[in-house]
Amino acid sequence: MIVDERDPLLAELAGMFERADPVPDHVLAAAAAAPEVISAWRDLDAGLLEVLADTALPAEAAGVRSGGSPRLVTFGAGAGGPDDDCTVEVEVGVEPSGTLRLVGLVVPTGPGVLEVRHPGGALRVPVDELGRFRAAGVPSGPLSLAIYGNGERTTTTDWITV
Amino acid sequence: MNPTTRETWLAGGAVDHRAPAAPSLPVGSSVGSGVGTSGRDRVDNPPLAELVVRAGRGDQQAWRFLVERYANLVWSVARSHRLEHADAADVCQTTWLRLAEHLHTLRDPSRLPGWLATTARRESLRVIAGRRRETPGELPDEPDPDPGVGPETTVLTEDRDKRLWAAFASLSERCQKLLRVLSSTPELSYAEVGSVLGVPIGSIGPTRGRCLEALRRRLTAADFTGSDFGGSGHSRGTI
Repeated sequence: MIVDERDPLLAELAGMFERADPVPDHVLAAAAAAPEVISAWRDLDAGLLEVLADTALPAEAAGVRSGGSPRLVTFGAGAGGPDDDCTVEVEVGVEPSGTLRLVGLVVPTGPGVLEVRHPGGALRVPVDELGRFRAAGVPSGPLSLAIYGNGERTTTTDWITV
Repeated sequence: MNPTTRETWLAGGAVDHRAPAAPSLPVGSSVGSGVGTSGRDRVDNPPLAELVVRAGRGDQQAWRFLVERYANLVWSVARSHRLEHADAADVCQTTWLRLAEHLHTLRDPSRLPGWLATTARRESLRVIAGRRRETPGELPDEPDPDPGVGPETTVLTEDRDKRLWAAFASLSERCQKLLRVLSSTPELSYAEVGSVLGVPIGSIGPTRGRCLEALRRRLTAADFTGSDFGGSGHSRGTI
């Protein structure tokens, strides 16, 4: 039983929205499946990098609106953590077909593999000895990156919408 | 990932969207659930703290209860940012994926609604910025000819709903956003609502009252034009 002492008009609005603009079933299904998506890739030893900067969020930082220039997302870990020297910078560009192109840099540099994860699957691209990578045909929507070094520990990033 | 049907994921049977009763979950003590109230009523049946802990350990049923309880909140935040269906769906999916990733580190379960709303807002802003990037010719502040927040009015069959929607749609964007988010759940504190909408906490209460009053006036005005002009005690001319 819900304890709801809200204004009756607010409750009536809630009912109207639930009839007029309900959460679509496929959205509910995707939400329900989120733990399966995560656990399919879960590596308990992997470090998790969070979003340190994102030019798509100028209002949250004190930054300047980036009108027109490509979006740049920087992932990193908090200082003192096991991955505090690791950062991933990604430039997100839009391809003519509507899919996305990622161009980025992994630090510390070194050859490896970068995995672009999305709810429908994943694609892998090489990271060169200078830490550079490039991935094309990435679907827009939720995305997470995983970086596999040469036998070193795996690093993943938080999910963001691209 | 093949989207499952609603019937599949709601394997336990239909659950009332607004009052997720949990017959198979222990209700626990009504007081000592460890969930803070932050000065406002929280809906704790089943106890949120227990759901969070169980879902964090991989309990699928607990996770589904969380989804059932807060899907509308996350969706409403995205839609209140005037995102169209596909974009709002992306925002929701990212938000729930993030929660799945972070749930086991969530220290204070009572903050979950605020965490979800804030995450959904951030992702909404990302999507908005991304769409601008794709259409550089568009002016950022140009009015949206097709505001995504609008429901499909054709699905509204009740006259009362139609009038309520028409009155709501005539409110300022700020009021629409605030009322949409506030109506989606009673579980957000004013501080959380403030951070979701990007406005000071102190302004939420007064703005809420003003927006609801404006909505009432419009509903009343619609009544006047639709039926009689006799005027109840509430005359618009006195203000």
